[in-house]
Amino acid sequence: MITVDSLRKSFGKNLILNELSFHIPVGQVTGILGENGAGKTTLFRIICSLVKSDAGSVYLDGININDSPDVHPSVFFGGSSGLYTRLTARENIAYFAELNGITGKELDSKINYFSGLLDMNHYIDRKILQFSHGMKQKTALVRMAVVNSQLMLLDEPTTGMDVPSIESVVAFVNIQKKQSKTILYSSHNINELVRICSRILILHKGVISADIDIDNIDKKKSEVVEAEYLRILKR
Amino acid sequence: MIQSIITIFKKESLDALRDFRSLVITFLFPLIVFPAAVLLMGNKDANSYTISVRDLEPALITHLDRDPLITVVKEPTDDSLTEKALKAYSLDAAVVMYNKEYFNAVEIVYNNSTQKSIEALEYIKVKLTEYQMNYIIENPELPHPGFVVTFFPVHDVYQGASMFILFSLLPVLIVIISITSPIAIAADIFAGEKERNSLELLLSNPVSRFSIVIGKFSAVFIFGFVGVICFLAGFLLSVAIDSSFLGLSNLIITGTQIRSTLLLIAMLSLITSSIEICISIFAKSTKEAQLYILPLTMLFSAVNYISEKYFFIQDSFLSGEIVNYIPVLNIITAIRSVMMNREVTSSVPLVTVNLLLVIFILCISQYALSHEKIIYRS
Repeated sequence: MITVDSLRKSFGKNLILNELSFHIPVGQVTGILGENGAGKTTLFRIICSLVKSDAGSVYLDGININDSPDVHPSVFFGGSSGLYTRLTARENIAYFAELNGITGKELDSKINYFSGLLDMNHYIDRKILQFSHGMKQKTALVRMAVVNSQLMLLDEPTTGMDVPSIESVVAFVNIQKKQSKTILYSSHNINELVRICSRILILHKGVISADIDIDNIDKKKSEVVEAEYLRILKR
Repeated sequence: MIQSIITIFKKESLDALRDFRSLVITFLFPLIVFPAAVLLMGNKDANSYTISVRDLEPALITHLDRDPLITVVKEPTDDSLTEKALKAYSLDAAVVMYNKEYFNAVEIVYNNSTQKSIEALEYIKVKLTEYQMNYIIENPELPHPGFVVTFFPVHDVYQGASMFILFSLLPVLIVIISITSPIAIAADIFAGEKERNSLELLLSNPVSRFSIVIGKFSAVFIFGFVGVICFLAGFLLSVAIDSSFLGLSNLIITGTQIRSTLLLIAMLSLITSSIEICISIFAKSTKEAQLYILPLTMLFSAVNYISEKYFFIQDSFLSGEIVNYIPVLNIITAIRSVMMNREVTSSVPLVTVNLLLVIFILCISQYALSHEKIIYRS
């Protein structure tokens, strides 16, 4: 589904991605683990065509992103929900859905389904201005989900969330996983990644320093990933 | 693409309509600024006029003096009734006297640069008509006293104060309002999205940059245009509340003037809206966008000054003149022409050059929106 080939990106003298390459097959949930400034968000932005790489290519379903592939990723940037505060949660969700061609009854049923899934029904018609951080994050997740893209990019979606909200997000991603969505999920929380992903890529100094197959680890998955991550950081 | 533009336009309109600040700046302020000025400051002591009379028959002087709104003071001895004389005798209204050369002719000398004096003129005209009617009723057997009333403004700038308002004040106010009324929504429309981190999410959708720019531009344009209409409605409302407001008691507006003014305001709003959203794209925050948009009022006022000083007075607004091919300047000059009930003869170059400018600015906006250094400027 996603093929990243020799991707290179720098901001001034600061090299962020250095000949980065990996492939994610259809239906796989892949975690990206890396320290702050490792280039996770930059990678997501390049896949979404928001930022241009200095060199290298990204392919979605075999088509270069510069050649308008049929697959269009739906994205979630966790640092800020990017919601419009004077609109209600429903209006925020509907806005992005309509831009993706989803309208009418299909839109209503999707909103009702996902808002029910994340226990949002009691505030779906309230303005974002009155929302807590967790409520905003959930709204942003539903906004991404109703678009119904086969490729989902989630960049630190649980940042600032309380434990119940994190559980909702994990449940939400697991449902998407069952629908064979291809998901690229970045987080600093190893436990969260292990529960969601079948594979974890450790991004360090602009390259993939480790490619861990979670399904092949029998016990203490978090500890294995953490040990590998710390080993790479100390290198 | 059309559906995306409509979706973006609807969202931006809804967002702006729920913003109290936008509503106040765009609609409420332009609509109430003049009526409020009339109600608060307009007629504090409008109900008394100090006038002086000379060579009038005693019965007419008594008739005027009996009116509770009129105070008749001593006759001026100076023959040259000028503005200086009005000031010298502390006459805030007018001097009424019989014309020595023409039988039964009454001259009213007034200062047309002060609202009070213009109001006094109107009131004295009413009182003179009243006097004639009373005279006929009380003396049916006597000949008709029908004197002719003539007016002598002593501060004639552009054929009267109302002309001054229409000529100088109103065009510059229209220009300023066309910039300031959509400023809240325009500054927020891209720069605000950057602050909220929603711009990159919007751009990550399968919607062209062109659709995003046009959808948002349409919303800013509609708000700017309606804002100026609200301002003009407030202006006309003020005249309706107080017919002597700014000396516009004799204001007559034709259908052609209204149609032409609306088209020119629409054109002006297209220009100001396109510039404002372009600034909003380049700005990193709403405050910065407002900081860069506000000086446009000075820039456009300077264009207005050039229009008034160098083009309109010399009657240069004619087909083939270079002014017709200078965007913005030609709109402002045309607004002034329409206000003065003159014909705008060069609408084709006017529309063409201004639309080309709008398209050019929108192309810059679209390009900027594809540039990561501008999208992520912080």
